[in-house]
Amino acid sequence: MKVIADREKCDGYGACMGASPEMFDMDDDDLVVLLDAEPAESKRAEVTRAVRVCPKSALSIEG
Amino acid sequence: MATSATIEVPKFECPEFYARPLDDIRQAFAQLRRADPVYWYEPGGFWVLLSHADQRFVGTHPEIFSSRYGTTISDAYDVARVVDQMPTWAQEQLRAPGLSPVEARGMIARAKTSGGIPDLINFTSMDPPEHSDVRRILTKALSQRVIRGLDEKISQLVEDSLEGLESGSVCEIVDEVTKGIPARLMAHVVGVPEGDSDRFIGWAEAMQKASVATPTTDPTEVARVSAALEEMNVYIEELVGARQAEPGDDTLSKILQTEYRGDPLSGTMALMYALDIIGGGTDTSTHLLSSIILALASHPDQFELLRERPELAQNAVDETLRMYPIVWSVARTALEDVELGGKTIKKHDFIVLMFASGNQDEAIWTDPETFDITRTFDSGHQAFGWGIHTCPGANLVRLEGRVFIEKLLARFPKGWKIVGEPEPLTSAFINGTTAMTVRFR
Repeated sequence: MKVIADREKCDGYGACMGASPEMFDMDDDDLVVLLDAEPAESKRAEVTRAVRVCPKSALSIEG
Repeated sequence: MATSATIEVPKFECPEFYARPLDDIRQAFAQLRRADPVYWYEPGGFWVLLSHADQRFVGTHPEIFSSRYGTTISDAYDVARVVDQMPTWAQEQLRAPGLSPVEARGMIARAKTSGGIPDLINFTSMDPPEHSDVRRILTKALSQRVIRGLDEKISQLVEDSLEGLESGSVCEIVDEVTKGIPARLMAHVVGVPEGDSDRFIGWAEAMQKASVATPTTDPTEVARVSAALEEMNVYIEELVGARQAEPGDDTLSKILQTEYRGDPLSGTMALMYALDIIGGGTDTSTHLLSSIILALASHPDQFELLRERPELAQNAVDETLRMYPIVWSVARTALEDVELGGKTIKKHDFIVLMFASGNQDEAIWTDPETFDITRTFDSGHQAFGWGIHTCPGANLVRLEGRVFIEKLLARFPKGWKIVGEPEPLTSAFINGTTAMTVRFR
């Protein structure tokens, strides 16, 4: 599973960090950064929630 | 399929409807959601969207569903019936000839969320691209990093507020505990002494009341609310002035030092941010903390489970948010004709998103009426809204809720009981409790 973050779309809402604080953070520009771009399969539900909760649809999962 | 003629349709615009037992309200929403989820509510002249999916659709399309022409159910009242309750400058504009119904609704919403300040347009009433630029400043001020830094402060505030309560204590929890914590936290966020926080409580309540002006509001109450708002504005103006002259470490100072589209923040925008932090973070958070107390007292099996598995505390907060709404609904206006659930919503129609119903939608939730702290929230609940207007303080209040649960559990491992019936807030916008007596075991 690969997580993709589109920083052009990101508006720094931080909803992903709420859903999955170990996987997502914000950098100094307050845009999303991935702490783990290829999370373990066991994290799929949590990451899916973070992807869905993004108000800007800036996140996606491949594989 | 039952037709809506055979079921009881909620009186959506009436505050009294929402003072009924929560189970009755959930039941009424569920019946209508199953029968007619995109419902034209003739008495109020607006649509009510009851399904989770339709609410999500509206949330993800701000280019179709605007926030400029009203954002709450009470913005739909007839202008003539509520105009007297508006600030004087808004009354003049509302009485001007040639104002279309949709413009009037927008003006009412703007006036109600202005804190009484004439040229203040709250970002809740904005659409992109303006909204995105205004909102980003607040998001940055409430980013996860900032919130993590508040963890210790929240722990201390919660512990202080529970000080003196012990096994056998009986107390009115709203006044004695749940009002103080968010108010003191907001005082910390705007960098004023905790002693000033009690004033935030009254002001936040006044803002909440002003935002739901109803035709039946007592004129003396209207006068009281507007006097409180005036007092608040004087305070906030001084506060903003002081933070601009001498910035501190607080979140408000950081906001005031940011730029908006390359220029320093205007005075009015600075006021707006201060107003939204105090108004948005105080009253609503109090209702969540009270609901946590109520939810865990009402579901002893879930309380036991939480004691065995304290790592479920955050989940318990989200389940409380799902089951005990803070905001019943928000509203938008269609900017074009749009098809939804086989019906045509016309340009300029007003659309109420009944979050309290989306959070019970059986298409999303298994056993929606069961309070279950092990529930997963893969689809996300609607308690904070969805899309670009989602609550900017959501992660902060979720943390506040989690710490509150952890401290309560540590102090009262045998739980607590509600004595008598909680006093409901009578509002068509906010759900909450104005008084609730608790006996700690």
